[in-house]
Amino acid sequence: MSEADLAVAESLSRALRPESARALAKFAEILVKADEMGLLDTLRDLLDGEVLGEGAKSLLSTGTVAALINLDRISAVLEALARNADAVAKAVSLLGALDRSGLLSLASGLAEPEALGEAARAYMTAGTFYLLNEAPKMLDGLASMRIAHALDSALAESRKAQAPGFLDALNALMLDEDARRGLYFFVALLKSIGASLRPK
Amino acid sequence: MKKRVVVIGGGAGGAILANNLPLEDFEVTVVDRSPYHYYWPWLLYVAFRGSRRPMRREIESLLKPGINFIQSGAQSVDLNNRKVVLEGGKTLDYDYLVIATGSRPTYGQIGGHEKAVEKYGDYHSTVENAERVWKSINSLKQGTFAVVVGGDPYRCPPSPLEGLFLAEEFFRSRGLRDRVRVVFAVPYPRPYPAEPMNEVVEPLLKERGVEYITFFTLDRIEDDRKVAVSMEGEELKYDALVVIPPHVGTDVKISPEDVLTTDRFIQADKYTNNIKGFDDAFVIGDASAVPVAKTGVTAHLQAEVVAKRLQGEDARNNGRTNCPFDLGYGLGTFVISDYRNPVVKLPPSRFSHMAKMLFAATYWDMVRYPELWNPIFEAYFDATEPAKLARIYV
Repeated sequence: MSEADLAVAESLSRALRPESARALAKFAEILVKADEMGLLDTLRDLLDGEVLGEGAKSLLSTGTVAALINLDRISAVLEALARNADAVAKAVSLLGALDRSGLLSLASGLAEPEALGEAARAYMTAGTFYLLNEAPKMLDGLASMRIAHALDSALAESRKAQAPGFLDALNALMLDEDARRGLYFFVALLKSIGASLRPK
Repeated sequence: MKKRVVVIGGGAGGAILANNLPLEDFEVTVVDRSPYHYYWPWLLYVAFRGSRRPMRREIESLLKPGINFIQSGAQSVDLNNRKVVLEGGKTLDYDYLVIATGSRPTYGQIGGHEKAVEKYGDYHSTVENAERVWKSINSLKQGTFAVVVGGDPYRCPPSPLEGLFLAEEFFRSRGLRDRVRVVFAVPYPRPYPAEPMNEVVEPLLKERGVEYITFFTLDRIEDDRKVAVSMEGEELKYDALVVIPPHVGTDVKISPEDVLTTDRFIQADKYTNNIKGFDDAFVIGDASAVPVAKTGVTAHLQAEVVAKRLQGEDARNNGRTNCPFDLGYGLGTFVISDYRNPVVKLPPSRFSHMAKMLFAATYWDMVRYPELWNPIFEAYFDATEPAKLARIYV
């Protein structure tokens, strides 16, 4: 046995303590159920490099990237995960925690075709399809409006100690070309929503 | 006593039907000349993206344990006497028969077609021919690339335009678009036969500088002159061309013969898939002459209906189609309609393209595990009923 093998064996024996055996057994039950239902095969097929590449290309629109950049905490979390490499021990201890919280039993109960079918029926509606289909376009639209910058700037303006008077606000609206354009955007939006709400 | 069901064909329709039958009530035998089940839509990506991803799996690996599989062609079917004779001479008796033999391209209707396929390939027949298309577009550095619809019917109605869009994207991505003219010729009055979807597609063709010729009924290909000639005598000059081949139905000898159309599709009730005049025999998928698109989704839905009918439920087809339609540049749409509603005008979206890719990746699991996927599909088809989507996409 090489030195590397010994290190792995030692790491595994540390991770596979008797108290984690129960959680592992439950997890194995979930895996067997998931395999019988074809979930593991599906996951394996989805983890194909070509599929992941196509998925990434579809999901990563300018708008998505802009939205993700704002979530800068994600990169910090990923860095923290990368610093802790003892994955086996971590996974097993996580399983133990999941078991103690009852989540493993819950997952086992949910891994049933009927439960997944009910979930599909509940959440797959014409509205869900519409939102999924239009999400890339909506994100691109929000990015083109630089919505995060607009929010920052509007918040900073509105939080000034001295609240603007009614005439100041009206003045800005009448004299500022950008404010008028912004207002007109909302008028056009309301017009379009109103048209959709017409009785048929 | 278990009912004996013989399924001829282990493709999408046949395999899904077999897997949907409870084996405690049915003895199911699937017969197929090939040991493999092919995911035919992937030929598009072999042809225009050079994909090498395996697109076939062994039929036996996709059938549930307990289903019999016989690797043999069916020579003849006697519907009156409930008998299927296999190529080796073996006879199978049945209580119920399901024919799911698909459709196949024919090359005898257009002059010079076979020679053109040998040279430039196509993407409706074999992996080898699709690889020829990939070679053809890679060797074309200037001139005209043409996609010509050779006649009806053919598998997957969006496929001619999908190939065209991917070819256009290919030449543009190689910096050759100013030197390669991309042309599309169809026998229809517009690029896509159904008007609402044409309203989605035609602006894209214009935007991408793709030329199209309508009412072009292909008569012959004169490759020595590099021209495709229509029945009206119109000539389309090309440097490389791909013809969408017209398809014909089953090659199995069927008695009585009057259930077959002249191009060997099997006539059936469009709601129940019962072969004309027979309560105990069905045809599903591309092999049938029912007026729906020849696509895997149709075969899938018909298989579920027939499986339910065999179990005594009065299930009926509503003619639903749901064809994923690649528009190039990571965009896609779906051709969604049913017997009562026309095609929905679904705008191009990256989601639709991604959904097509995810579907292709999980296709095998959908065939193999109906318990998991049937309720999910039911929910999807219910959510995306054409009547519901038509209220959103006006």
